[in-house]
Amino acid sequence: MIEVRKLSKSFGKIKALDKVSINVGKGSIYGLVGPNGAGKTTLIKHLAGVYRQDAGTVTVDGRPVYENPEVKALLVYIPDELYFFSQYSVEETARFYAGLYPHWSWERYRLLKQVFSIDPGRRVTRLSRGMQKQVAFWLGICAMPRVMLLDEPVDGLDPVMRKQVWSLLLQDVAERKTTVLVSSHNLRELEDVCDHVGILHQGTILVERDLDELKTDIHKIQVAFAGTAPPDLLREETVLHREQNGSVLQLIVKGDRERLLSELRRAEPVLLDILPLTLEEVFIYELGGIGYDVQRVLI
Amino acid sequence: MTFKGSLFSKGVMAGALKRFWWVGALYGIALLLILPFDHMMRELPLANKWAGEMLRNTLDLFSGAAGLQVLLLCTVPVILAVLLFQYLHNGRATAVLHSLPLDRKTLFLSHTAAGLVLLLMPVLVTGLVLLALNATTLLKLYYTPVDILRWIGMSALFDTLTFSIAVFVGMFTGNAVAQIIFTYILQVLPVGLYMLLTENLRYLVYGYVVNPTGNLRYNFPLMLLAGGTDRDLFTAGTVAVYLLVAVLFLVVADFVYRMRPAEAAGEVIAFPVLRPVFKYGVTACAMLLAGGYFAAVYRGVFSVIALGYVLGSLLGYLTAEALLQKSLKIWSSYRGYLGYAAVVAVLLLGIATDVTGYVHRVPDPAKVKEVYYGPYINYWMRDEKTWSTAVRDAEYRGGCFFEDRNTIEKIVLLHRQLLKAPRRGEGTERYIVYTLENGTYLARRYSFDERDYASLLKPVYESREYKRARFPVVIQYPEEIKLIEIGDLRTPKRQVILANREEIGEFAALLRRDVLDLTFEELTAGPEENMYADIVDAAGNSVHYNLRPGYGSVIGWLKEKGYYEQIALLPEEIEYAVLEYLVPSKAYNAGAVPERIEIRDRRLIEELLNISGPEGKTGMGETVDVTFYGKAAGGNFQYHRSIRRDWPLSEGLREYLERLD
Repeated sequence: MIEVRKLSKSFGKIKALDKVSINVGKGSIYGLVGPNGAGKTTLIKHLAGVYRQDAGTVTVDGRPVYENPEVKALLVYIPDELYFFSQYSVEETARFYAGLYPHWSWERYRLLKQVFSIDPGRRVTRLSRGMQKQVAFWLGICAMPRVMLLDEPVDGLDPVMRKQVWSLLLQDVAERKTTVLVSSHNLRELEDVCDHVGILHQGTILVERDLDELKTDIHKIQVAFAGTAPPDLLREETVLHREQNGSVLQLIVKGDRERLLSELRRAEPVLLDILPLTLEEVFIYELGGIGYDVQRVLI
Repeated sequence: MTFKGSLFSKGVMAGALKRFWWVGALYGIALLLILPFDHMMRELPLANKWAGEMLRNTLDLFSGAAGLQVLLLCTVPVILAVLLFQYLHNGRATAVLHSLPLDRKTLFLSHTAAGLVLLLMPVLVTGLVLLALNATTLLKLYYTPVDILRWIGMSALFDTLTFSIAVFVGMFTGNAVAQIIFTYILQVLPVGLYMLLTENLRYLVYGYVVNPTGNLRYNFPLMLLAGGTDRDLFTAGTVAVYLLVAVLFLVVADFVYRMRPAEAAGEVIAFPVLRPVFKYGVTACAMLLAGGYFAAVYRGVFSVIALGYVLGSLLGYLTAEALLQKSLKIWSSYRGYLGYAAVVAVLLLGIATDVTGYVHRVPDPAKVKEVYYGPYINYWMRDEKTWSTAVRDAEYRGGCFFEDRNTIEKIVLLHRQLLKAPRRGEGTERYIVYTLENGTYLARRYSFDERDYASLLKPVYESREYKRARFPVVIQYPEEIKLIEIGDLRTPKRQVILANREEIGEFAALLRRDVLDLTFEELTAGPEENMYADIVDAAGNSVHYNLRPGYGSVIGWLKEKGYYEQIALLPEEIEYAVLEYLVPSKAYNAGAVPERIEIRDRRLIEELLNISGPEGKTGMGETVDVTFYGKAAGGNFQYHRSIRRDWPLSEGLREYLERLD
């Protein structure tokens, strides 16, 4: 649904994006992760048709976004830094959007009014930052987009609202096959919702992974042997990390779970455990292999 | 709903109107107060034609009676343009508005259209109110519906024009304050830059002539409205051109908008390629401004001007750099300044060494068709343009065209002399403009004391060509003269009017003889005028002649005819004279009373009346004010003149003057 090919963008002498390529399939939730200044917002602004790329292509549904109102009518962009017309109430802002988005649904608007419980007569700019964010989601969902671009979306929302917003989004994805691209500097935030994750660092995509695949592919194993561990243990496999802790050996290994287990069992360990991996750990080990100090890339 | 291909978005337009309706409302209220309300509140003086004219003039933007309207015309469209396109200057707003399903053309056109509605509605409403009042009240006695329609048209035109310029400028910047400043700078720039450049060249290049810009037919609205334009220049064609220009500004603005990067919000100059233009433009303007100022204040010494250049350009460069980088840590960018300084140094060196030969170019006298020598370039331009000897001879305007080979040679010689000993800022200003055989012109301007070049200028001033130009009576046929009025400025006595053909003939012939006898020294002496003659021709044109004391034939004739006693101030009519020093106004305000001496000695009074001497630099202590009190046929009178202590005074007068000290 979203396809970015070799996108480059410079601001003066600063290269903000350098040959970035990402691919987001229809109905998937793509998490864009990276530290501040990595280029997340710049990339999203290209997807929203705000920036014009220096090089490369940015397409949604196979068509370029920039200066293409037809494609932009399918998109909703909720920026980190919101902007509303200063004199507009929620209701008036809704009318403004209704006039611009061809698939706007007033029915949804009325339904969601209960969820958000904000008086539609209030001026948006007078609301708190968190409430403004809620309004942005409320109206964004009513525009019935096929693609939602969310820049640091749940920043400033309280945990309850955070949960509610995510569940609304997930529901939309499930019902309408909405494609979502969401950015965050916090990987943990995205872990539970995304099916794909791309890590952006200094203007380039370091790694792009399918999370389900990722989680089934990398394993954290604890083994202990009566004596010393056999030296040729798992020689044939990709061991990303090995740590001896007393008699307990901790291994991070890439490979098929069943095959690994059967091989380890053959060495007759006194203890054999497969532990759950957090997404963060996955990336730390994955990227550690490429030579990045991942702890500094992912906070 | 916005569909593909639609140029305007109803939502965006409605949004803009909703957010900025108050600008239009305030503008409308202001106009209603300035025009219809004010007109109704005035007490209408039916009999007073002038007051009626004033009322009508409020509908004429160029009349000076529309000052407040002009102020609004120059500011409201700019404010509106800034407000409407402020979203381009704010990163958040730029991101949100440009992510909406609209293209940039739609955004631009919708905002522009909303702006025009907000500007033109108030004008239209005010116009309609004026029309309604005109139809129903006494106001129709002062102006007509046509006046109102013209007012609507002109106001709308200038609103649109200023708005389009402000919008155009806004596309090049990402900062609202910069948009306002640039909008005004752009409007002043063409004339201002020309003035700065020529003003600097005037000091740098010896003899440089500044072509007067005059009343430009086309200029930016700010200059037209603030500069008091001739409204006659505003024909239907001019209006059409301005409308076209306004549209052009908007078309280009739209184009630039689509080129404009969204990330330019917050930048002073939106396009990186234009940043050097801005930087060095500011540097150059600041340099010329400081140089011109230093030259004017410190009398044009080159080293001082150069100092002004260094200070001005440095200040300009640093300011521009600080604005562009949005930081004060700009010392690292000194290289650009060095480059600029090198270019300017080369240019100045070129000027100093006269690379083009401008300064030392003196034409070969043989190739000069004619030469103008005189104090005003404007007159030369007018005469040269009209190219009619009749017009040239009709009126002396302080300059003269010479075609005589001898005179031309003398002026070329003078020109060479002036180049040998360049002097600046002293003496009187004289233009030398050659018309060459090949049809080109060579114009120079110098300031010098003509008496220093007496040997060269004597034949010029005493030439028949000069006399003829300055004193048309030299070639005037007596039959063309309708009457001659002769009087004395010092007395209330009644003038004598010669209407008798015979007397006119005699007087004109004698005046011609006296004029032709005038010497260079008399012609260049300070013109103290007592007696005069106005010669009026059949067409009603009047030429004024100063009847100098040296005009023996004319004065003799007047005495012979008995006119002299009738008109001139006679010494015996003076009762007494009072001498006093001119007291500086400061001391006078502090209560100092000037010393006064009364003289009743007839011999001394006569001396005071007739004494003359060289005009020196006016020093306070040197000049003595003389007031004569007298009684003549026209009643009591006073007459003032100044004398100087360094004149050849008689012993008796000197004694009186010493008593003043």
